[in-house]
Amino acid sequence: MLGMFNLLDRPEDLLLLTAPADVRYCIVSLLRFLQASRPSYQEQSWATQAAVAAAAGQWVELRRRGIATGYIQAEESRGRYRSTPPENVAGNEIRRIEMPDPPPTTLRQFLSSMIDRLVVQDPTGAREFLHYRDMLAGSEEEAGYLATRRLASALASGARLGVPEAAVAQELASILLDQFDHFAVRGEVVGVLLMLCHVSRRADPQRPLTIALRNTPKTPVHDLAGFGDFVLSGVNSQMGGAGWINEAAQELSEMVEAKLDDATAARSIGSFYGAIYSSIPFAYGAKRGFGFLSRSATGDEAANYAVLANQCDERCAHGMAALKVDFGNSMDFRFILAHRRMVEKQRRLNGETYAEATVIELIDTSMTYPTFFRPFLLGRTNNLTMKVT
Amino acid sequence: MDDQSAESTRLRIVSAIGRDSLYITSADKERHYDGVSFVALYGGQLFLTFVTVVGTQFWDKLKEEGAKKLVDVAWEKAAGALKGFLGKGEAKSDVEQIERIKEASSALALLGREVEKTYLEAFVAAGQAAVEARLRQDNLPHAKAKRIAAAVAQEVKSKLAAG
Repeated sequence: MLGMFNLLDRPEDLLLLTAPADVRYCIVSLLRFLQASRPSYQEQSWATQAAVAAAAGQWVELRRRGIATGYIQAEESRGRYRSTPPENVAGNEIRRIEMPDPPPTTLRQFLSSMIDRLVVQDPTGAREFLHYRDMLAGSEEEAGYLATRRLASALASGARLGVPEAAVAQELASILLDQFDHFAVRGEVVGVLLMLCHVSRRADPQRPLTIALRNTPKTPVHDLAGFGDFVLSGVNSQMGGAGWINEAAQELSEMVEAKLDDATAARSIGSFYGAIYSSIPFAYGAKRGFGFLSRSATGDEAANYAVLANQCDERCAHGMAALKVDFGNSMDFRFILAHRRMVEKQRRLNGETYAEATVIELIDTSMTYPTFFRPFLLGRTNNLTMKVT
Repeated sequence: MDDQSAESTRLRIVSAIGRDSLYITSADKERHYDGVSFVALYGGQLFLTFVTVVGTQFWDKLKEEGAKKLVDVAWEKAAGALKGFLGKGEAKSDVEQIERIKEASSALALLGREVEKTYLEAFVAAGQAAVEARLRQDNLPHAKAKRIAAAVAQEVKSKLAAG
């Protein structure tokens, strides 16, 4: 997170999309950034960063369609985010940013242009990316709806064939994760469905999802997250349901930690950011599970679940920030060069310990960079190693 | 010990906390991106909490052994160094905390030189348990609290060994 907000000399430079030297890596890093959660959210996050950076130290209200209004305050090395207006700050001191509706498609257009460029450079190597040009232009709402239908029909088919629900859920979870790894489905969809699949696994041999879908009184569901909550409420009303949801969310949290351990041990830039990308649906799924429990429980129990949901939310935010940095660097090394200058500035002003502290934050605390970037960030080498043997 | 060494002590604890720093503020209404200075201050608090428990344990032992008239001059000397440190409350600023870490490190070195190893082991175990409890209270999962408390114990042991 360090200095993510106004790291470059001019805030508007954060929005620059420049042709990279390694087009293939740029495509992959952009696909990771877009698909980690939801392309339109990522587009909005990208588009708002310059405005947030330009208002350094000031509270900014972010109004975005389909996302709850948020409040952010950012300075060079610290930031705050909250879902309610900041206390003791007058309304006229809060800057308001309204996102265009429909959300921008700037990054997806850039992705298409990079794929076209790769086609010219390396027609064979470009083949695997061709279908991403159209896929990301598709309707997100429709893809979310299809995902819910997919779950329902998989459960129905499983029931007809006498396959246990947990086995169907397990199979669906592995298919989704494989598709996510190939950028064929977005992290938000995978997170919500993973949460439900893990509930089913925890409840085996019970059939909590089938029962929830069959018995829960129909209520209007507007989006994928709403569908997830609808099914969870049906599970919650079953005997032991809250326990299954809690266990499933815990299981997903443990998967996040395992993925982050993989990132820490990564020997190449691709496997580092790949592991961070893989952690996000697990973190998002766990956040949905704990968040649901925090709203359905009461008292201390609700507060404890809210804390767990916050932890998962932070994991998502850190992961997303790292993927954004990777994409920026894939174009022109903008962030790592700026971070390296920041480390050097700390050394000049406060000494070596402060330079090291800055690098510890970038590598160990926020996991923005892999461990093998340490010598480069500390200025001990001018060669940025992308892979260690 | 100089400021740089005290900073390095905190930094090694920050490294051990690493990506798990997010747990510390997870109960807050606001999400924080406070940077390394916030985690460093927290790491310093863990170290000082540890040393305070070690010091308190030592004082209790001193009273117990003193009553039995078993305390020698060396123990009295170590007690003198700790008394000044224990009398102060929690550090309110970064600069104050660095000073406190330097004082604590000197007191630990003296303790390490003058007090028998078996006693020291018991003091360290109590300090480690206290830090682990603090981390769990701050919403860190059990295994993570254990790992970080062990890293803080390592810092304390190295200061004791420096004597």
